[in-house]
Amino acid sequence: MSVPLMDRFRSAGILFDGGMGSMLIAQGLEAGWPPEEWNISCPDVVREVHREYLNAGSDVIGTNTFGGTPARLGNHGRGGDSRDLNAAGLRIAHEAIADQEAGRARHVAFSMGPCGEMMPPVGSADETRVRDEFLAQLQGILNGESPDLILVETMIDVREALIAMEAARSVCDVPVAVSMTYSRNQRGFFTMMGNEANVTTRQLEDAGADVVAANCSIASHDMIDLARLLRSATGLPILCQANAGQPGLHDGRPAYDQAPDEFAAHAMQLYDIGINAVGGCCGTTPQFIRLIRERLDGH
Amino acid sequence: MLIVIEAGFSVGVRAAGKLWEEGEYFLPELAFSAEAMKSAMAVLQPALLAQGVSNSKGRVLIGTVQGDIHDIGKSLVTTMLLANNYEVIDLGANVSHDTFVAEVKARKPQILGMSALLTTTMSGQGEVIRLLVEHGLRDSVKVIVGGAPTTSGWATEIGADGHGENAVAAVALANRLLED
Repeated sequence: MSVPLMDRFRSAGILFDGGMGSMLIAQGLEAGWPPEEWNISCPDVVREVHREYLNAGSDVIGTNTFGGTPARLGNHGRGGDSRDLNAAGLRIAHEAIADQEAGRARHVAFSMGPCGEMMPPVGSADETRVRDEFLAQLQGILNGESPDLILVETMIDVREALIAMEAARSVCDVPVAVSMTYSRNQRGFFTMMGNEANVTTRQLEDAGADVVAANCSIASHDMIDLARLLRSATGLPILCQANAGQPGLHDGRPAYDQAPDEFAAHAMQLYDIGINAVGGCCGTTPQFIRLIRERLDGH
Repeated sequence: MLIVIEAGFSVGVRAAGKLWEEGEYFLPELAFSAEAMKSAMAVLQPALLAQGVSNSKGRVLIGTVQGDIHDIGKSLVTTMLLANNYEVIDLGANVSHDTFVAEVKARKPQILGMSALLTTTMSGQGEVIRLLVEHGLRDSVKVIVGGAPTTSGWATEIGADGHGENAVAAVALANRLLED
């Protein structure tokens, strides 16, 4: 029996994985096609991405289920497949870990992104509708091996994040990490909805999050400043997953502009600040993770 | 009646846009101001038309490109343009390349605005411009682009007339282009 993930979170130095969507696009996923669909149509490709991250040294891999609510899959006419696509995503991640040789303990984080329905005044979804979206997605984890963590991520509305966490609590006892996506403006770090990082972190802590986190939107340099703020706001374990710089086009293909070694150097600064777990978001690849692993092991 | 728009609603929406640029307002406040503006225009616009009064600076056709369902940024640009006396035809999100071309041909806007929020869909902006050239429509309309992954360098690369970093900048860009 390996060490439970939450026990490891009590110390620093946990390494998550990097981007999934960008890796699948590199494998031929077409624009507008839901990545989660590949959990059933191309499971080998998804499993291989997990394997690459595990080989690079990730302790925790995130499932390919980010957009797995019926509302989001419904944009592609696959809303009815939510449970199956999420279950397949979870199974593939466990399989990738089972294939690894014994040694370092590995864990699975079940990814849940925004549900695809916004609450007023930006959208018109009420709490029940948002909760039902997450409950439908969570159907995918109720049979078979459980995830070690539920990772509610890239949230811009703390109300939605809290509903997702409560939905998870209502169906299982898996620990929940809540990751908001903050941008920097003249006055500090805020989500698009205006949820300020300090205040939001306390709200998440009060509501019983096991891990608070920040991901996407900002590059690793800004993440260091945000991490200091988060560390001073809570005693809970913290996970930070920055983007690999800013997106742009390189020779007509989407590309992020940050070099992996700079990202890895910033990752080590995050651990030094007291951030318990680090990973990457958009544009990060197994190479980014490998460089962090090398520095961690030599640290 | 024009004064209700020009001294009232437009000023309010522009003020909300400014506060957003300054980091004071966020999406919910902008959504509220957009809603107020839209509700007012729904009442005022028909009345103005009935009186034969026009305060329109020009017609803008706007939409989010094919494969991209992101609506928020594009809708904010629509509101800011309305607040600045533009007539706006909003085609919504996930607009096919052919629809953009057909609508440019049919509605004859002075400006076409295209939004893309994903690195995987932004190439559609260039594709529509290519089709406009192919259909002999490119010279009839100014093309502006926006969305998180887009930059002024990208706008130049695909042959657009300009790039708006945000909804407020998009209005300034439209004003500048129509003055030329």
